[in-house]
Amino acid sequence: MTKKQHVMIQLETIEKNFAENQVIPPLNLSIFEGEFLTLLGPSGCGKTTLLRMIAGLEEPSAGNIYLDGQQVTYLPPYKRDVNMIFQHYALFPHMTVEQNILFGLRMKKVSPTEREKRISQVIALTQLEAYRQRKPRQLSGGQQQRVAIARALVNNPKVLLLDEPLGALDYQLRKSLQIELKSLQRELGLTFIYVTHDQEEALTMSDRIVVMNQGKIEQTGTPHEIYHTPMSQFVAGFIGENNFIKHEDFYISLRPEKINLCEVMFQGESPPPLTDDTSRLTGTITDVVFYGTIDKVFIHLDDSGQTIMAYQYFDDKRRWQAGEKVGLWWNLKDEVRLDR
Amino acid sequence: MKTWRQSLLLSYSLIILAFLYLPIAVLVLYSFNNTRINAVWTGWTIQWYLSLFSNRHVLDAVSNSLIIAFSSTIISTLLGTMAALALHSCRFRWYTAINSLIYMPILIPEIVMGLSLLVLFAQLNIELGKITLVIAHITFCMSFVVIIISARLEGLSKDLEEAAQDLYANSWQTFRYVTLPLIMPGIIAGALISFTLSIDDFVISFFVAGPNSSTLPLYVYALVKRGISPEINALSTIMIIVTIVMVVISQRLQVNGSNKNNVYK
Amino acid sequence: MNKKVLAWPILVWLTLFLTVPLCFVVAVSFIQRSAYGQLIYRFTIQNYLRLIEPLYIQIFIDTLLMAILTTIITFILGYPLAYTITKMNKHLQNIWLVLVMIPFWINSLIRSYAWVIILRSQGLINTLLLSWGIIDQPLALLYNSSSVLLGMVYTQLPFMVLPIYVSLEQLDRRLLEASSDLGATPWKTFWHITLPLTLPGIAAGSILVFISALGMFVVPDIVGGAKSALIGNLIQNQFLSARNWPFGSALSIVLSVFSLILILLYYRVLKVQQTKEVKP
Ligand SMILES: Nc1ncnc2c1ncn2[C@@H]1O[C@H](COP(=O)(O)OP(=O)(O)OP(=O)(O)O)[C@@H](O)[C@H]1O
Ligand SMILES: [Mg+2]
Repeated sequence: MTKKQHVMIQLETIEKNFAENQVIPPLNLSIFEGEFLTLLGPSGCGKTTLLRMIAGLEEPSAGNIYLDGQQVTYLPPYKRDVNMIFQHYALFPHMTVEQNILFGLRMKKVSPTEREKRISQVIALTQLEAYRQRKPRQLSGGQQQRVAIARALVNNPKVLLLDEPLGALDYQLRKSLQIELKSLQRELGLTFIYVTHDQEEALTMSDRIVVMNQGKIEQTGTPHEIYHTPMSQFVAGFIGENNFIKHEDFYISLRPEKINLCEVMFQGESPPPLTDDTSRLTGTITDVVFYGTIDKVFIHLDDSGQTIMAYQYFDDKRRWQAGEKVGLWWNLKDEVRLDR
Repeated sequence: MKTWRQSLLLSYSLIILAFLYLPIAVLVLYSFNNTRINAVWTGWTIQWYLSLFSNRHVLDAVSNSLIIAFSSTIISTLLGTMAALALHSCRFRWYTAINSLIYMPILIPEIVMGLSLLVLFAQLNIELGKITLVIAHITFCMSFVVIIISARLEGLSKDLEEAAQDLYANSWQTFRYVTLPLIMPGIIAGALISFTLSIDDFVISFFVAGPNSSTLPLYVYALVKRGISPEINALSTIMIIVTIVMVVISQRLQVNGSNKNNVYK
Repeated sequence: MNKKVLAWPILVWLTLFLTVPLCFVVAVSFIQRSAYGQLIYRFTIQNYLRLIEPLYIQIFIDTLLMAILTTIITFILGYPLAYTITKMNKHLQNIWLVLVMIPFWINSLIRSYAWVIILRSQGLINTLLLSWGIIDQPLALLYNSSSVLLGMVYTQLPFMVLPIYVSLEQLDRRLLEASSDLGATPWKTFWHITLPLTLPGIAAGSILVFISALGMFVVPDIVGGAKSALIGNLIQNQFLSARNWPFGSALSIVLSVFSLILILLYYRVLKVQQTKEVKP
């Protein structure tokens, strides 16, 4: 993150209605120069809509958008220094890779020498030398993705908008492109606004994550904050797996990897002493499911009748079986208290 | 800016639409004009329509047109449907040749098709009349039927037929209970289009009609060649209305049909 | 049961009433005729040689010019119309499409005749102009090549609009957004993206209009009067008044071959384009 927090994009009580339907209620958000900001949320929550308003492809129903201090709310997309990478790339099928990449520069009437310089830079950066003269249809998904990136980057946009850019690719390719994208962003010091469905992607790549639900911002924070100190039940439940233990007027959320299992009868391994900073419960195991690196153990709690789930790693002393009685404990600092 | 450009385009389009409809509207309007001589409007009348209905030649032409349209529609729809089914489910060795043959009536100039039939009938000493007209009409209608039904079959997922077979339907039952209901809108649209084409055809009929087998368009042409008269306007108006009704019905069928059956969309 | 049998009737029918007649026409184009129009079954290529007489060359050129002009004008009128229709919502689109299609189905004989009512010397325009005192002699609006061109454009316009509409409709909206996002103004987006990507539709519409204008004889016959001589009228004449079937046949063979070559070329170009884009 940059030290000096220069605001690159400022959304001011932005609102969007489609006909009667309010998709985004008034929303405020600042995005800083050079940061990698991810929009995360369930399908239909308005991520694409928000991105399209920043790009100028959609006009907000109310509110203002500032780009680098300048009011751009009603500026058409072709007058904004913002570029978008579309979900299915939207490469022009009748142009070669090179013509696709040059398109933005030609539109802005950049001089041929400058064009040549910039295109060779981005082509080297995205490793597309071999494909310059190909048509998009003759490229693999990963290569098309690179062309889309190059086509946007070559314009030196102030902000790059990416709408699920890796959504259509297979797992391996996604992993390697995640790394490429992240290092590209860091090296060039670009501002990225990134939309994804993939939580792991969001957690590993972002400087900051904005969790959205039904058009509203639920929480903004670093991946660490979002994961470890969710501020609402929605965020706690949406990111990763979580247990909710109900109390009278609040919830305790507790990550399954924070729960330790032990014998109730204290025969083998003895539980740690009950101190001020741990908590302890007992229950019956209802199911144990194998997940490769872990087992997920489902436990029916004795006192409240709720079911919670804990991860067990294989270096643990024993494997648990359904039907066994079990004790569980955790550190109080790992639980998050959420109001109802 | 945006709205300015859009309203310019919209007005341009409205002008073109007016260009398409104005002459037709004038024609229809004048069929109700109470004067025989010129373009001055002198009041409403339906006398031209009444005189049409008491004119033997008109009634003959109407009955000829209907007989010819019905016969050629039935035969061309039947043959066209059969061919579309065969082309859809079998692999033909001469596929390209067969396909070209089926498209041929649409591709060659109408006038050439008309005169080639005239040459054929003359050389074989077949007398020109209703029979030759029906033959000619079937020949150019069939291709349209094949194309419309093929498009429908194309949009049909093979899964449905396979599912039926998986559920113990033999090939006749599969056709009867699955394929046929699904392509029915196509068959009806094909039939309507055949009917419209046949009732409206002038160029080809012009070559293969005999002295006593004048159809409506041929009769209109004869009248036009003799001079302008309000009866022509009335007759044309009737033909225009028939055409519009047919087009709207077949459009409805096609739109509804494709919405109803596109379960996967 | 082998379903292939189902295709037999149509194939037999088309052979009997399309292929065989065309062969007859080819045959007739190579024989002679008597002074009274009887066919004399003796081989000659005279009918084809006659085609290069200046009179007929002029008719070919006139016909070609007329077809080219018709194509260009219908394109200029039709493209913006198709473009506007695709920008409407689905419901309006369907209504406009039906509105464009209806004239397409109405008999071209009637549609040409409608212009006669409007343009003739006692027609609508002349009557109006006379009664407003703008002119004192009726203008000769009908029976010249402009009225033929007008009639051609009028009858062929829907052929142009529909294929262009289809190709515009298939255009991926995101490409237009991408172009705008990359800094192209609406006009540049249209020029660099929309127009090139709808070329197949433009080509299809142009071929349809061009070919059908080449063989057209109804429109010139009705609004062109006796003066107009395009290939279609010439052919009609040879068969019905001049009774020179061999020469008429030769003319129709030339017309058909020319049309078919254009269609083949169109498919060839289309195919080449497709394979070029699909295969690496
Ligand atoms: N042009 C439109 N007209 C009407 N409603 C729209 C339009 N575009 C989007 N919506 C609605 O707005 C809501 C938000 O859509 P949006 O595409 O922004 O969701 P998203 O968060 O990007 O979802 P996903 O993750 O599935 O891509 C949805 O309920 C959608 O139905
Ligand atoms: Mg989206």
